[in-house]
Amino acid sequence: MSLSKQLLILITLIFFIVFSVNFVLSVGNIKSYLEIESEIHVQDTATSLGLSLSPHMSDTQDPIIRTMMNAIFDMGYFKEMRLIDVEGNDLVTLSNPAQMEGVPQWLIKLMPMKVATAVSEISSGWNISGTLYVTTNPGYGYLKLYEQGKATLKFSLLIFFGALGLLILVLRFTLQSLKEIEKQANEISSGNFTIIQNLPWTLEVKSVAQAMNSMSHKIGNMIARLNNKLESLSENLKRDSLTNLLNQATFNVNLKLALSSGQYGYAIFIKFDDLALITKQLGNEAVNSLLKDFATILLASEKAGTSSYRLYGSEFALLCPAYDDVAINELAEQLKQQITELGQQNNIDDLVHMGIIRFARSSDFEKLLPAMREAYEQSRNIGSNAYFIKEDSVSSMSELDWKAAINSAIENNMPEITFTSEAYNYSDDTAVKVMEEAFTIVKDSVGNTLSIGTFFSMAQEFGLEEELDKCIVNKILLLMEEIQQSVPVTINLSMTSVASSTFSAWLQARLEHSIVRPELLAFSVTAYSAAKDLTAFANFSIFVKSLGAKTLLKRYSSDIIAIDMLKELHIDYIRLARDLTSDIGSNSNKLDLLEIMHEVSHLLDVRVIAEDVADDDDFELVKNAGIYGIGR
Amino acid sequence: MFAKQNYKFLCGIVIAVCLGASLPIIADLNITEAFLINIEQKYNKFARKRVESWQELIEVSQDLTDDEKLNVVNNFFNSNVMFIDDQALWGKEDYWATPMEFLSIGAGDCEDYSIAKYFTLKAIGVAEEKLRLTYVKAINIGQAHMVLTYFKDKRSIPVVLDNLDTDIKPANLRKDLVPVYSFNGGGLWLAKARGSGKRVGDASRLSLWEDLESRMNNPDN
Repeated sequence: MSLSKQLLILITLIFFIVFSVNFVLSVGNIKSYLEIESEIHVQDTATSLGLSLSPHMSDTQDPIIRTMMNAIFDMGYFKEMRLIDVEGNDLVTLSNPAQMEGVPQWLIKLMPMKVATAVSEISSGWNISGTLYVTTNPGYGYLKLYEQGKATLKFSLLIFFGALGLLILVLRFTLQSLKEIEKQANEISSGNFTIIQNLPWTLEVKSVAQAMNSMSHKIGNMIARLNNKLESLSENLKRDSLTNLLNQATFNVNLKLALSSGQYGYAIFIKFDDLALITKQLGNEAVNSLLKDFATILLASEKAGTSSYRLYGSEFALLCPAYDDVAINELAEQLKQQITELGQQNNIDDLVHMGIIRFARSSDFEKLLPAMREAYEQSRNIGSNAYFIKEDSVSSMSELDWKAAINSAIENNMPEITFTSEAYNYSDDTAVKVMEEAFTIVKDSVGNTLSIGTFFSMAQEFGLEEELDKCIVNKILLLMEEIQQSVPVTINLSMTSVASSTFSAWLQARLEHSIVRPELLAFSVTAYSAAKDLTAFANFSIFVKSLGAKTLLKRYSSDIIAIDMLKELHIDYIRLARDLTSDIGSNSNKLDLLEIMHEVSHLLDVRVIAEDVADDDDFELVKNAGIYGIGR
Repeated sequence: MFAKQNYKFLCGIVIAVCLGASLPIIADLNITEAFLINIEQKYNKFARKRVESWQELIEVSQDLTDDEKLNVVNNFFNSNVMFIDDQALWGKEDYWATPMEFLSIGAGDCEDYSIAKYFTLKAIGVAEEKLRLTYVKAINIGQAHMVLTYFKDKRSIPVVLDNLDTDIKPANLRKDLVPVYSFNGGGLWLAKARGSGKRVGDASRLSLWEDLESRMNNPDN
């Protein structure tokens, strides 16, 4: 029971007792007052009537005595009047039956009123001539008591309910601050480090609120510092230490992202034809200097919207999204010129060659790198520091073929589902499976497996991704029902579906008819996709939570989405980019990053999953870093 | 004059209240040496002497007949205390002096005489139902007046204890007095109590004598 309810009941009870006692006392006082007033009245009457009768008592048979008594008696206030002579003989007796109209019997039984009788001795001259007895009629007293009691009860109830209303208002006002503190505690517990802006005026509660604010502030600052460190580490991990160019892993990720997001453009593969020979001629130090100068040329081109990479040793690359053939030719010419100048400065005529390949949404990622190398080889036949542009977008299928394949897959419910990428928790002695990923396989009409990345990308191109997602989610649920899945499953969605209200409505209806426990469903998008529309993703997360399901961010890196934003997005799981958990031993930054990631995610109550940790040394390091789920 | 008579009438009621409520107390009255010293310091040695004489009278008169008691008490007050009206004595239109104040100061008006005689007679064993405070008109002086009357029985002519005529005489011989009304004290306490703003609720709780006693024990009040 809440504190406010307890206080309300307690104070209401006290109020009720106070008002009840007050009411009973009031009615008692009224009764006592009425009885006394009655006594006074009847005594006054006896005295004054006695005084009036006194001159006439010399003749006790005088009719004026009865007349005077009748005059007073007929006013109706009296039950009986009796006049006796000095010997005790009745002279006059007047009586009325007591009338109790308008008064309930229970009141008469519950609160019997005293019937007052006053006595007055009457003299005649020097002698005592008689005694007058006057008895009051209690009916008037009861009526007055009943009316006063009703009025008192009415006003007591009015005041009672008024006081109750006031009490509720005061309690609500006073306890509001406690609710805010409770809300803040819950927010802190779930990773939102909020501050209570309007401090309560109750001193004790104010102190608690201030302490909570201080705690929230400190933890928030700590997470911000860790996040900064994470960003710095992530940045380091993405770059080549000598040239400060982005590394090969980042190139792969960025190229995939470009493809999946429907970008087109050119990728340039640049290779020093014989770096070993140059090293031999110039020495290590000069070569390093040469490579830095070369990197400077590449970095300079980033002003024109490119991104530059050192893939490995003597191999470099440039991604030029949104470049057309004119722009790429201009860039290639400019690079050729600058590289030639660089070579001349170092007395080397033929420094590098460049293979340039066009890419589009339909391009197969797996075929792009070999094609870039092929173009490079062709450029070597052209001349010093020459380039070769291959206009083929490296697609295995035409757009029409893709459209037909996607439509066919949806209409014929063709996507096949397998659960892969099993992740285990190793915190106990025995490993516990904590996550699997639903992997989709789509085959063409002749049974060849299609590139799934390109398949989804093309579905997006044709605006079919939502239908495709529905088809796949449906099949995943059917499979989970069939095999009675008990481990959470990652279900990949497109951002279009995530942002779609019709998809949400469909998902809700579908889950209502499924026996699968919603907490086993972890709906996932890549961190890169989510970052493009954080509001939509946050809304989808809230919606998914309302269904009892979870959300997961794939290929998470804190430079894409700051880790302290995860709570605002209501994320349950993050899956790290593979590169972060491979070859950890060679880069201490990776281990630092994992440990910090673990610490922060623990504070934010977000579970971290590492996938495809193949190497045993890497696995031990990831396990020791405390990562929640590890896939191998 | 009529207004003054009414006023006197009300005072009679006050006295009646006192009579009704205080007799058991005066019977148990124990006048200590400290009390007498207090009287002497506040008034004078004559005051002390009067109080001592009153105390002695109460002690020695218990076994007398009613007639003897009436004579002793009537003579004691008529000879030991002077008549002075309230305005001259207390500076008030009417003042209800305690018997002790009445004796101590050695003066008082007709109500003070009547009430002091009433208390004293009751204290020495005269039955309450035989005593009445009677309002009369004193023809010779043309004023409202109060006397104490004693009824041997209910049908008899009462005798009058007065401070104007110091002899006790049957009422029918007092042609100078016109009886107006006599009160049995117990019947009127309520009306007076209400008029004086006292709490009225339970007769047993109302003791005007306590007020008198309070004034006697705290002479500064």
